[in-house]
Amino acid sequence: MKAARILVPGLAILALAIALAHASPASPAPTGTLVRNEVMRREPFTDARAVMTLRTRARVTILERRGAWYRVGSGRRTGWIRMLSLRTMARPMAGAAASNPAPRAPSTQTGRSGTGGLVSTTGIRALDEGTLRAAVFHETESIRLEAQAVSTAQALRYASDRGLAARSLPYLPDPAAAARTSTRSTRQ
Amino acid sequence: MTPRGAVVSARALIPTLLVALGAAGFLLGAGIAVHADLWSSMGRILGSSRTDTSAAIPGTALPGTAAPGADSSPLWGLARTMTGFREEEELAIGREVAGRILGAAPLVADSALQERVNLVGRWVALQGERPDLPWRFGVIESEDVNAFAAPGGAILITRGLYRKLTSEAELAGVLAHEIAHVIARHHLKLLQQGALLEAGVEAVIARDGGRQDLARWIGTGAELFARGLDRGAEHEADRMAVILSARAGFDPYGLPAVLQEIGHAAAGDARVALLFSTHPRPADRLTHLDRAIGTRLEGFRGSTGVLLPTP
Repeated sequence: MKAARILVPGLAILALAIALAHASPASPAPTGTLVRNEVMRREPFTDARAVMTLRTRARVTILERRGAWYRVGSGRRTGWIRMLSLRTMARPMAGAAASNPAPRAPSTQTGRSGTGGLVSTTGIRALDEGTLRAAVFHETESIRLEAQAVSTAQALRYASDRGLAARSLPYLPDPAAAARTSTRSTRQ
Repeated sequence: MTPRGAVVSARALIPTLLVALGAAGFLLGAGIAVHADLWSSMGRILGSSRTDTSAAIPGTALPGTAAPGADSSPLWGLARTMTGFREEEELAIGREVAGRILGAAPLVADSALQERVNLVGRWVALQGERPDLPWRFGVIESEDVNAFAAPGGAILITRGLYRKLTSEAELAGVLAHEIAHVIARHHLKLLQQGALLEAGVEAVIARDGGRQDLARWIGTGAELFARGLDRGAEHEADRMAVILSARAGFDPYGLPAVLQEIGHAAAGDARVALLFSTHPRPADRLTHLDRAIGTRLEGFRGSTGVLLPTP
């Protein structure tokens, strides 16, 4: 009993230390850039109190996500903004990624990306165009894939166990369709 | 009847056809630069294998009753008449494509993980217009970040992509994007376009009796096809994926979150090279989704769900 009382906080501290050791190195919090002026809010709701207004191209640190919202940091302030109001920024190559072989030639220019596929750091061949082109049908794996499929009944049971209820919702219209239509009618 | 003849069976031609598809970066689809010779060879294969373009596709009637929340978009009717493939042909093509990808990257040996991915995938697929396809899902041994949709409902995602996911809603979003490609028959439509292109070429040959300027003509046509449709198909699959996820009760922002995550991968990282070369940039896809969603999902709450850990 007494041992447990000492052990539990001890383990908690140890766990925290491990978590911190894993969280800090080589993976700085991702950053994002605002694509429009946006209000940072106290809570992830449209009608929550405003913290501040961020301008287009403002840079923020992304801390967490909840549904359509990111909790972000800007200077010393934190708050929630809509996820689609920002775009994450490409990280510079670092750590393991940098030890990868030279990047392949951009396929947009050549249409082909190398001959036989690159070998990644793990020794597994990259699934690039060349590898896929050379790939041979695998009978045993194909049978495994078919065999691991689940039935509709199993999927329904899974959903019900998870409390996932199907909802009726129409597909999103194509926002570009209206523009295209107007262009077409102008041409005619 | 072309000199190549219609005697060669569709099945015998599938392997050749798939080489062409594989080269096109079949997978997650779009934006890929497709070469004129590729299109031309796809068309050749199809031109000689398809016997009846007006054939109905049996077994693909809209199963609206079985699909909760499915809406019957007129688009799918169009897709059916446009592809001209019978469902058994679609399934045969799909089996071959998936089997080849598996030849390059086998399934991850973790039956609990594979089962869970199948449960999530099947449940999401039930929200679409083709719930009765033999949907099967697999996580494959590759550190690349990518996913593949084969016609007929075989969907593969790499371990590298799975590892980037932080919730079941994100897994649902990624699978939903692939499911959408299958529902909308995007890849079959690409094949069909190859066939149409070839038909056009043959008409030119018949008329002119020569191949002058043909390569140039094909090149222009193929590029227009590839660029215009592919980006549209990817955006359409993204829009559908958000809704399929929501219909399944998941947080609909799973896919956008994954796109954000992929968006800040280093551009020179070889693990995202194929994905980046075959798709519009993540930022563009997010902009499209932003415009499409607007305020439509305001206040919509979905389940996040916990993922099984990566083996």
